[in-house]
Amino acid sequence: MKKKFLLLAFVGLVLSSYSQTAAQYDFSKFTPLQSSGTLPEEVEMTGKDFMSTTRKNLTKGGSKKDKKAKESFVLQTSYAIKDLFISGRLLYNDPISEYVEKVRREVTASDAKLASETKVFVVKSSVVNAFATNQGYLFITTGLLAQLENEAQLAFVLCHELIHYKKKHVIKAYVQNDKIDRGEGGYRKSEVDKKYLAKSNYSKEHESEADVNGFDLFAKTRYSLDAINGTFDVLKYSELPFEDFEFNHKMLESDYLLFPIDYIQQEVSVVEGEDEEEDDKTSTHPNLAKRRTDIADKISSLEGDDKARVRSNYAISEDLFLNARKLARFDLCHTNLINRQYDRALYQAYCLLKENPDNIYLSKVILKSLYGLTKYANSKRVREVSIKYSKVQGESQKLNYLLDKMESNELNVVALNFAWRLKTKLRHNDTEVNLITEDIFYEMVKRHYPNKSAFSLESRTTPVDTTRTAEAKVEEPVKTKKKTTSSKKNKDGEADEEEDTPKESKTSKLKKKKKVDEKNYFVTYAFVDLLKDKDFVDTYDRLSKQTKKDKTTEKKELSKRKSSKNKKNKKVDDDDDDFDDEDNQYLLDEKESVGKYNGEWDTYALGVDKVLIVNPFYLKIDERKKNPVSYSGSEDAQKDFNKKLIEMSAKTGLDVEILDKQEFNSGSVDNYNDMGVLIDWMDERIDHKKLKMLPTDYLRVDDITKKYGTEYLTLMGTINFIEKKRGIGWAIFATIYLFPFSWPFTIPYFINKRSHTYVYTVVFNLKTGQTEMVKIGHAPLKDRYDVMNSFIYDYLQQIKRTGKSKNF
Amino acid sequence: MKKIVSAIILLVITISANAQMPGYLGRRLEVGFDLMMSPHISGGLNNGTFGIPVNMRMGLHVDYAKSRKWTFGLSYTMLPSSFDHNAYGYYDANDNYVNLPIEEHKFKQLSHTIAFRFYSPRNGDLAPPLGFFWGYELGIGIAVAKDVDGTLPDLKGAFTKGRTVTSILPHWDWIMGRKMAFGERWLFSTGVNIGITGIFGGLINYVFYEDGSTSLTEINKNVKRQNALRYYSQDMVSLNFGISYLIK
Repeated sequence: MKKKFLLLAFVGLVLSSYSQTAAQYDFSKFTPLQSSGTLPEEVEMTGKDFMSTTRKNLTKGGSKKDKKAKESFVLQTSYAIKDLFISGRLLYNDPISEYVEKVRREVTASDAKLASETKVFVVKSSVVNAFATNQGYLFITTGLLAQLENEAQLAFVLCHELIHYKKKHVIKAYVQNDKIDRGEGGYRKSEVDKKYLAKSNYSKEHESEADVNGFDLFAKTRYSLDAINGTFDVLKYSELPFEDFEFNHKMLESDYLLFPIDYIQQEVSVVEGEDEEEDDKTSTHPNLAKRRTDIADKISSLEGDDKARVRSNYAISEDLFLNARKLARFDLCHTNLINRQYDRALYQAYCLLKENPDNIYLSKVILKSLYGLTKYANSKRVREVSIKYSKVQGESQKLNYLLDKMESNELNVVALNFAWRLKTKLRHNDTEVNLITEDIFYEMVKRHYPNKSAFSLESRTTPVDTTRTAEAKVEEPVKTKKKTTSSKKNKDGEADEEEDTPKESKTSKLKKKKKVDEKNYFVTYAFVDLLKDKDFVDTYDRLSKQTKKDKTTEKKELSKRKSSKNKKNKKVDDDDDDFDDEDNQYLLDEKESVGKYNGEWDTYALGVDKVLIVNPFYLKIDERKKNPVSYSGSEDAQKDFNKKLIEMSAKTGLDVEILDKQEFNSGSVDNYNDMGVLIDWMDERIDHKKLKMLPTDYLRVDDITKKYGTEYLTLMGTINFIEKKRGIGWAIFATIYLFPFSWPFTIPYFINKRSHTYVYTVVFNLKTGQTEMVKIGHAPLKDRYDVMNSFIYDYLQQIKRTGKSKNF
Repeated sequence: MKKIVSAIILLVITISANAQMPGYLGRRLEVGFDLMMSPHISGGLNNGTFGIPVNMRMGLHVDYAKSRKWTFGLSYTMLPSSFDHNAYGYYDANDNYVNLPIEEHKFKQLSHTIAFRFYSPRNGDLAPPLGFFWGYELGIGIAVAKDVDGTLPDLKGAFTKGRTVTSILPHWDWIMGRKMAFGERWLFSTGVNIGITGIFGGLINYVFYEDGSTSLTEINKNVKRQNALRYYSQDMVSLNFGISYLIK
């Protein structure tokens, strides 16, 4: 009995764990997708390994030049694909990849050779795309998966890509393009535009072949043929978000914060999608109309079993498809945040919330989007992260319209309103939400509303209407009026707030009108209820004091820096109007490095004990060769570089942890995931430039700092570059005609390579986002081991040592 | 002189011992041996060093990389050499012509050069001591020549004690070269020295030098000029090789 019970319990456990991974993903606990289990063998393969597999699949025959082109193709694509596999962007052993693999097996069931030669991988990318390589690897993006409507559409996409592989389109296109570029045969006298046209035509032939032959493969499956046109529909509207729900602005409002009516777009513009009949002369793909016609012809000519077969949109499982698509959509929100597409992330999270109300992850996506939009708007860079509404199609246009309407102060208030309410909902227990809310609050107090008296404690008395007239539109927030020293005092000896004038002037009347309108200004009422919350009020007061102090300090520092910069530039006028916000921030950033950087000696003394070096990089370039990049040489030098890093770190006493994608093996899934998070962090950091923001993956980055015991992320790399010799003619002339005086100079010129070695080191602080060190060293020498040792030792010890550096 | 040089070396070592700054892997003080070769262009054929028509100066140096921009050092080189002076006879105080027993009077010369040198790297951002460098050497040369056969008359004031001629000469060289490291502490350097004083001093002495004079005073002056010329001629252009050891 006991044994039977245990057996049943075991079976139940196994089944429940299968269904958990397969269909019942708990989206309430969603975190951005990561790889798991054993990494595929491709992760361990070197570039040379990929080259040998690529060579197996080359097209046969061709001229000598064609063979050269093929070799070049093998070289470039092998290393590119190797980099893709260890980029951190591919997903391994996750639910989406497992499902897509099932569909691949389904569509290749009729072709065993194709099934054994190909593999499919999922790429985390917001781009709607799929592609195939000559080695038999198919890649499909989460962006595309999020858009698909059923499994049959996915199957057709895979069939299309499988034909690209089967017919070796990739290498054929490369060789043909090379021929066109070289001006071979009929292209000898072609101009540039005609060559481009020729390339486009060739590509279109391949695309048509992939559609038509892909159909043949697809027809052998159980999938519905109608789905193919559905796939073209998806492509037609791929620029739009994956859903097109009407955007309700109320999600950003509260009982008191209500948008004026002119902020709400009443009707969106007509959705056009891609023009089906567009002129595809210069396009790499045939237009959609042609593609549909080709497929329609194929369908009508279908015969036999393929025609008679019972078909459906699902051969594997509808649940699995919907689950995979939902995962892709959830993950896409994260990808959009990393890519700073905050408007898109906000809208997508909004759409997903309809099916998943109260989902904390989605609420946080909205919060992070508002946070990003606020920070960029405050820095006058909002166009980098939000598209102008007129360029947006579909219902999401309403969101962009609203965002375009809002000034930076308004956006800040709206963001804080949302943030605080979310923070309260989570009972102040979410670290990330707390930190983001604090930063949004700080921004608002510092930049727009230093005092809470700018906000009304009472509800509005007038109904919500267009409360802002054109004259009342303020660029700056309401500021508390300063008492001027010349203000007159009344009988009680108190200073009047306003100058008295016997008759009311025009400007005075206009100012009063502005004041009245400002009373109805919608943000004024944003915090009527929150101002009754002690926490909110205490935070406001605290931040008011803090920002006041910070502003005073910054002002002093800024004027000091400006005047020293002006002295250097020998400018007479200290008030330099050319300094904008970003310059000011840069000058202030410099201040933060004082004590660690000695500008005069161009050295650092960071006082850091341990760093995490991610993806040390080595590149060898020889300009004298036709293929200047030496991939295999770089790969070998890379390994040596890692060894040197360890050796030199031991000498400097600096503890170093190296996370190198080149060293990954099948068991390195944790390192692979960590690297992916750090690469996302770096991408964001670089895009933000001087803007200080909490990273999207704050919590995951925090975990990484704890795991590796350091908050310092270091990028180190080397580029060895051999220049082509210039002026050889003069050197020969001098050698012959200026003998022997020229020989001490011309002989070394002929013998020596003009080699340059560049070594860079960048140190980031993962917690603060601060760039602690940037060094790019150059030596006009070969990358000999002593040169490399010297550079590496020099830079590592600058990270390790303490104190103000005056020397070295 | 020896005491001064020792004190300077000790001071440099003391400074370097307290430093925690890099050079090549943290080492900035080097001591080394140098070999400088220059074409033998004066003093007769086969009168170079050990009978080879190439002057081979040997020496030691101590260099300290003070900063990324400047390296300072001391060097000492010496060169055993020889030259011939032709004098057939002279007129004595009574205006009588005195024949000298031989015409070619051999002198053996030993020259010493002590110099202070300073140079800066030309390697972009590579920290010294590695890579290319150029700079200057400033010092003094002491050329001591001895009349081997003792056949020239020893006039009062003409020769110094022991029939030697001592010349104290300025030394100013433009130095350039490249240093490479082998292992963790060994440096190998190659370079070229262009003797500024060598060229000008050699030229001046060459112009005024005269063989076969019959005036004793002139014979003595010419011996001195030839002593200087011999010294300068080996310092005009030289190719250097050095090996040094990095001290922590």
